[in-house]
Amino acid sequence: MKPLRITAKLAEGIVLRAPLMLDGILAWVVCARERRLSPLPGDAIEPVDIPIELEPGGRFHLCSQGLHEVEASSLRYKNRRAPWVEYARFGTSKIKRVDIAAGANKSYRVPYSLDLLRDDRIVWYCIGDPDGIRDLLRDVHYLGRHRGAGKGRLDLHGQPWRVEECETWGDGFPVVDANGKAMRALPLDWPGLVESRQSFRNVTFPYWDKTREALCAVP
Amino acid sequence: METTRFEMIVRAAQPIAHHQENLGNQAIFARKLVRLPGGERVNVPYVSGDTVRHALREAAFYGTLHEAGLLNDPQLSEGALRLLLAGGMVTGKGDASVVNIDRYRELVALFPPLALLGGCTDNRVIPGQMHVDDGNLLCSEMRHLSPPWVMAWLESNGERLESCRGAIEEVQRVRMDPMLRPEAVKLLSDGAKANVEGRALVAESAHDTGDAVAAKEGKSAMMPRTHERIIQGSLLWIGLEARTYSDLEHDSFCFAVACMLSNFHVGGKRGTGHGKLEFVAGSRVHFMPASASLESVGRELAPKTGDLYKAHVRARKDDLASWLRSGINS
Repeated sequence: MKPLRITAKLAEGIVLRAPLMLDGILAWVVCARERRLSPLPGDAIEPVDIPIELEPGGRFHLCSQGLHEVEASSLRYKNRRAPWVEYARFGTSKIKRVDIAAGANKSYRVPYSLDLLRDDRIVWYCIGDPDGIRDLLRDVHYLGRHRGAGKGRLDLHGQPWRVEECETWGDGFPVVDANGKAMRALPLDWPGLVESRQSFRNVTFPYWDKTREALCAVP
Repeated sequence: METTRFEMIVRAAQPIAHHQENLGNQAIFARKLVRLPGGERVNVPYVSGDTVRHALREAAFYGTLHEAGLLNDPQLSEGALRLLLAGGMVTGKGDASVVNIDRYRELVALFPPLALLGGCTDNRVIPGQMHVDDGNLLCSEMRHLSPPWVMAWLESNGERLESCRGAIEEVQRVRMDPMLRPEAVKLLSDGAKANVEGRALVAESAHDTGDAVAAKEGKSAMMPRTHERIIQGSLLWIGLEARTYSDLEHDSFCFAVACMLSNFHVGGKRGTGHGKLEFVAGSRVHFMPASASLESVGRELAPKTGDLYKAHVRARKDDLASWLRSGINS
């Protein structure tokens, strides 16, 4: 295991509602390769082996959250229209009326922010196996939300991922910076933290599961 | 697991009307913020990935129903239609549109494009395995973001890149008021005719006297409006990518792409000669472990595209019909 700096190069804007976690991305690749269904909130999690070192207590992997700077944002919308024309054309005669203002057929237009990042880059620091990480990242071509509609596409014709060895900045590498600030959600008792905000977060994947959240030190 | 990516250049065989908002009577074409080399930012017209993705979803739906012989008398249930055309809905148990996970798996086995596009079961969303990029206008502002093979194709075919400003035009249309046509007025009943003529007289005298309120009351229903559109002949590039786990899934992806390309329409105003795109050139990128290869493809993608999938659908058409008509609503 080596100290690593991992850089993703985006081709376009990205939709981020929460920081991107490298361990979560790698765990997703492992599950995608094995075609595992994601667990329901609160379900027991089957262990997922990823090439990033676990902290001595085994609670989380030693990697920072994605570091980036938003340069500009634009407002976009996600639309859903009930296929009522097709209900009339292809549906059974049992379909008498369709309420498109409420219920299962409710149409929507949900706004979201699409961000352009400085230099189109996201950077992570971690302690891990570079070859294992490179192998898994080869299957990651999109990042963030709304990937199915092309948001967060990486520079697939250039160098989408760069995994390189780097110098450490002290004992806190890669989860606490040189000033003692958290570089990811950390348990409050984590050594070396000087002053950090506190918030309810997960310290390991699945990060979307709100039922597992606990009070953490956050960047 | 295999990841296959198609990238293709398409030409606007008709003007494209894909609007993001209306300002008064003017419809504004969708634009996205693009960062130019050096840091400057511009708004560039584009066709959203959601639109292209829905075109793919519709193509898979119609193509499969056609192969299963269900288009003549479909009689599909509401839940099935919603699942296949809009991804379904997380509704919870007890609702008519509940699909439980085993049934979802069975439906995916019968209709593999569902696995690619994703959908909802009773209490969870099953993510798709497909990424569909925006339709990106080929213009000087997008040069640095276009795939190298696209730029090489443009150069070898003598296509010049110009600013996106030249690719948008504004056109005006007018919805006419039939009451302004004397031959149409003659068809009215006596009472209606008297109303129309009375309104015309009010408008005329209001015009003479400068009475704005009366002029508004006597105004015709004629409605001029303008809209922006991408000009006919413009070139765009799109990317479609899918993660597949079997030959059948891969073939169903190729089948859906081929169906979409055979009658590719995006945006609105399709009833008035807008939205048709035609395939010009394409590349297939195979992302295999440790390598990626690029090969040229035609509109048919490969000689036997869809054969496996079509045979699969024909062999299970009765099961598919029974699921789509009743099995999902339980």
